Amino acid sequence: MSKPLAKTTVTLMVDDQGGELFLESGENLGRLPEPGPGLPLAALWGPLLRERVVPATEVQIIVDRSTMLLQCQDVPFLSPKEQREAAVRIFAAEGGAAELVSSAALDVDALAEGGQVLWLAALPRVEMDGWVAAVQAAGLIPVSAVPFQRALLQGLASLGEAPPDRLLLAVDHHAAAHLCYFRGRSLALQRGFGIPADPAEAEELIYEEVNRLLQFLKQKNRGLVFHAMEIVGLDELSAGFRARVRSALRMDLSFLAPALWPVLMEGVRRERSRKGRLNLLPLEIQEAGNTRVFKHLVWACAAGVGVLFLGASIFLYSQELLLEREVARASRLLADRESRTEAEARIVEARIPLLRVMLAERRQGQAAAALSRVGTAIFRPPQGIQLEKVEVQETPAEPLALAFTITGLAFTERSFSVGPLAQYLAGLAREPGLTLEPVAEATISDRVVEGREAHLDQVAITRFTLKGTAK
Amino acid sequence: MNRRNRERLMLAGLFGLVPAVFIFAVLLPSRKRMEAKKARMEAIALRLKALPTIQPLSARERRLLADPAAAWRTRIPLLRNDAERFAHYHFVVSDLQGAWKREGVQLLGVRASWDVISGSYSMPRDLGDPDLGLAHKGTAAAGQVQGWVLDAGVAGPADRMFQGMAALARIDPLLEPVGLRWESTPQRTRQSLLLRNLILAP
Repeated sequence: MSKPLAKTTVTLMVDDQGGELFLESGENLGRLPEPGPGLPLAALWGPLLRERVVPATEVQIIVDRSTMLLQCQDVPFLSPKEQREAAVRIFAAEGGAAELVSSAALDVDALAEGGQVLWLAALPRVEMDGWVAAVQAAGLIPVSAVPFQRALLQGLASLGEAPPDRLLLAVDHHAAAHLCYFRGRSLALQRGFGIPADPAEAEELIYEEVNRLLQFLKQKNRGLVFHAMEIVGLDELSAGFRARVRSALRMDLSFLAPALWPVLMEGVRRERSRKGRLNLLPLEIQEAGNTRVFKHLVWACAAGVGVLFLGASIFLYSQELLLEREVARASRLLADRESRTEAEARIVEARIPLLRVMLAERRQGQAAAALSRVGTAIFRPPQGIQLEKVEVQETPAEPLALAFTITGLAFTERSFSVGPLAQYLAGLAREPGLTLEPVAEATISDRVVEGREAHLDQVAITRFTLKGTAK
Repeated sequence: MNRRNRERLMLAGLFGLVPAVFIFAVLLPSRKRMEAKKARMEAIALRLKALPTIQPLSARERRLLADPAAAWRTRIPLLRNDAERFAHYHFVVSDLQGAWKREGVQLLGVRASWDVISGSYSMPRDLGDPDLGLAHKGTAAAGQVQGWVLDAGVAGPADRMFQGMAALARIDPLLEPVGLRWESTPQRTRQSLLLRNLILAP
């Protein structure tokens, strides 16, 4: 017993001779023989599959059985349900008494009437059930069952642009040939035959089959012309064959791919990735697959929820730790501050007398400056003013302010006596911070000077009292 | 219990029990603890806010406080008894006359009324400086600030008063000029500065 291979998607190619297992890489894992009469398929294939493939591996099936029914029809757009119903209805008429599993897929095709081509495929249910049972008996998961022709058409799309009408010869590694006529996205005709080992005989047979098919086609479609025959699975044919085809059938040969398997794999991959894909697996198997995907999704969500809560718990814990550190830091700061309070209190106590002296010194300086400024302004009267009494006193209010009272005389000399007084008032008013109250008393009278002769132009004097404040 | 039921149970646990455990075993206790910590933080912040912010001593203040013989200590003296009061009066008048004399300002006389001392007198032109064994007293923290005013008569023109004011900062007892009086009659001119002296009373 060989050791099961690593888990990957495997492909089961089913034909009339049995089945064959392949890895995605194309590695052949072995042939599964057709069981004899009375022997269940699962009993024969199950152990063989289990030997070769790791359990829970996905299995995709390519069906190339002669029992498969395949049709392509030009249709308008159909919903998936209508497609399935059409497949059931059409194959019910063709399948006779045998119960069938069917599937359908809709392709957009500009050449088709209605703009769509409906691919319809069906198989006897007993065959499909046998394969599914064998796959499941080995612990594997069937995920798709695609007709060989559908996989081939999808795989050809990866090989570049193609003419709307294409004649294709596909040859597999067992030298089984499929001669297909694709019209747009529709499989119009296909024929299968085995190729002899002798190259000359093989070329002769290919020529005959192609020639026969072309004659058949041209009887039905007079204007149908093929410029080339596309070949997949062969990398060379003889020059004589090429010349013969060119001269007799008026076609060139176009070798698209030397191996059929990669084209089929690409076709299956493309078909599986389509929405509304052609899948011959019974619906319950497909739904089980969908359920499995959903279950995985639910488990992933559950795991996500768990991870989310775990993350949230870690986040909360980290926040708590951060806050705890903040609290500890603040507590240390508070303790530090409180321990310093006593020392600070002593500093304050020692500082008060010094601050008191400093404030008093500052006030002394301010008071001296203010008194000097006011006094200098007061004791600088203009000519014609004689001061008699000046009193300046600090007011008790804060900030420092001074109140003053000035008594004096204004003489008439070169100007009339109130002139110098006005000049004096204007000079005081110009001093910054000095505010004069309205003059309460100004008496103008004649001046009597003992022992001097009176001169009218010099005798008038003004006696005044000024009050004000200064800051 | 079959596999499907076991899975259902596990899913129910994951979607129901885990959130419940998270809420009741992690979230709510964590929230409670964090609220308690926040309350502690707020209490600490309030306590810190309540503590007075004291400006640290400057280098000059530190130097002045550290010097036991610094001049500031005698500028506002604590007077505990009559002897200290009279001694202080003596220093105020003597220092004032001495400082003004050095500035060329003559102190004519003094008028003052300070508790029991009632003075209105002329100053001798040259006052001696005998050592009476009296000393300036240091400033103490305890004590009530009080002030008294002396009216110091100044000889000469008015600008002498301003000269005298400029010299006040150099006198040890702290004298703040709080006013001036100036009167001129045909016979004479009288002028005086009103000086407030600060002392500390017990």
